[in-house]
Amino acid sequence: MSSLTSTRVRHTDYNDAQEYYMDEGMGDGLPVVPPTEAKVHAMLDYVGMQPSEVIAEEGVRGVNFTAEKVAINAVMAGCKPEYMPVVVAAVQAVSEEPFNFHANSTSTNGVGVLVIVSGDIAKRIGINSGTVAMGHGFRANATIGRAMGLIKINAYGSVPHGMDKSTFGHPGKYSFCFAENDGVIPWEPLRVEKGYADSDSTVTVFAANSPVQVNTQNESAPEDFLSIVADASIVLGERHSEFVLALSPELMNYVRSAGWSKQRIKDFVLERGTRTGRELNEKHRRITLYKGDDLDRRMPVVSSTDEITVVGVGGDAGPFAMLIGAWGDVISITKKIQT
Amino acid sequence: MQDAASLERLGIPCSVLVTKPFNTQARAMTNLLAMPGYEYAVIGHPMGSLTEEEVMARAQEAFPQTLSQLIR
Amino acid sequence: MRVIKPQNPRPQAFVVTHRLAQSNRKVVQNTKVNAMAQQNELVTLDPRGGSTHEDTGIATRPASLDGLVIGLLSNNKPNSELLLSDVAGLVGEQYAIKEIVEANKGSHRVPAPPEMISDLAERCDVVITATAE
Repeated sequence: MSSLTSTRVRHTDYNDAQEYYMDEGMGDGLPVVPPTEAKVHAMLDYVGMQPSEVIAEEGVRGVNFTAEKVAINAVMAGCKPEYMPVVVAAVQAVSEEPFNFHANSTSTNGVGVLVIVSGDIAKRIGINSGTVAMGHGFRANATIGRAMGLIKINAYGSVPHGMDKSTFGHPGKYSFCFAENDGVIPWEPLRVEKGYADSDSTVTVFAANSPVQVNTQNESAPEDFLSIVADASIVLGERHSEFVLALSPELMNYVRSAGWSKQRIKDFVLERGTRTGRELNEKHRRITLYKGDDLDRRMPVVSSTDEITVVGVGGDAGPFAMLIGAWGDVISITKKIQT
Repeated sequence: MQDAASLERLGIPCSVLVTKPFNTQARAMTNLLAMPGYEYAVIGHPMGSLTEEEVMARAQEAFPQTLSQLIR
Repeated sequence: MRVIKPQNPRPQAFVVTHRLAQSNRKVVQNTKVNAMAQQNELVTLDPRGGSTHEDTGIATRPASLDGLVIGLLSNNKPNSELLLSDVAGLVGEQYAIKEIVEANKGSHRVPAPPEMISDLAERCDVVITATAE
């Protein structure tokens, strides 16, 4: 095993180390696990990588994500070594050109990296896909999501108040990771939809805005509760690039009973979540966005159903849907997790 | 800023206009692009919501800076 | 806390001074560390990355803009084309500009396509552009 090349810092004790990372702004504002050589080596050993191995190259900033820097940040986030394959795949995903990592981690829009895991690995390492899947309380969700946030700040340089100009930001910038719940979906899982084998495990990364929860008020016919969801999708704004629609197991049951396909849900939500060009123009005093035929055309939130990702996730009670809009000009990326 | 870096490397002098709240970010970007001292024009914010007259005032703010950035 | 010499020093582009940074902490000398402190002492690694971009210098500036072709590269943000043409207009009042070439990359969120950059480089002597807002 070749040696680690990062600068070493000596601390008198654990608390001294905490204060150091806080004072230097090398983190997200929460205490970190001090990245010692032993812990970093354990991460690298788990994935069989040399410290200097380049996991991914990001061209705009000229950043090579080395296994060493990724492992250091994963340790700081509190990851166990067995989470490292997920973090590695997510780093490869965010570095793909269509993900536009530089721009989306720079913009006032203030997105975070959402990591959706699909496949067997989620169960094996304990990524929660059930009750509180998007919230707190589960180490794998919390620390894999957090590792991506720390990598963005430390290894990629999107330092808050520096390169990161988020007007608001949102809590998902601390950590945003959940797994798709295979047990509740009546159709092909996300990994298969994205072109991988059912036996594979994948990560899909989104440049995610804050999630918007939709209460469907116990309507059980898909036409009814999806109309409510479609209305709510309008809040994401016109000409959006992409969004995630997460449906709770309760809603999934209704979908299953009614025999709706994933595509039918997408078609319905895309068609209903529209306003006419004339209605949209009324919101704009300074610019006329829509003219001619577009005045009476109904404008969808996204341009096609390919830009809607439907996942089944969440606790066994509650008629809720979650809409997660992505930042403009970003395409979500799916990568296979090497296990 | 990347566009300016690309053009500078092809031998074309550039002047980049940046509104004030983006100054720190623009500097972080020039550092990253290995152009740490690169000068650019910093003007008032906002831009998108201004009237034509107000845009002209911003242009006048940029003008002397642009000249000093483009001319030896 | 003591910074240990890096084994492989290289430019640390992301060492951006954080608004909370207080690097005036006392360096702890090994000789002053007592036995208990040594027992609790730990050595950690720096998580920050850097850029592989190399400093290739910037273009040589002309002595005057007289007789030159000026390129305007818009990022398509509202008012950006107007702002750039206003600046070019002011330049035109002071210098005998040969021509103005306008380009719009269509989105502020992505770098201009390479063809647009090479086209501007071919046709223009200097370029004025706008970033972010």
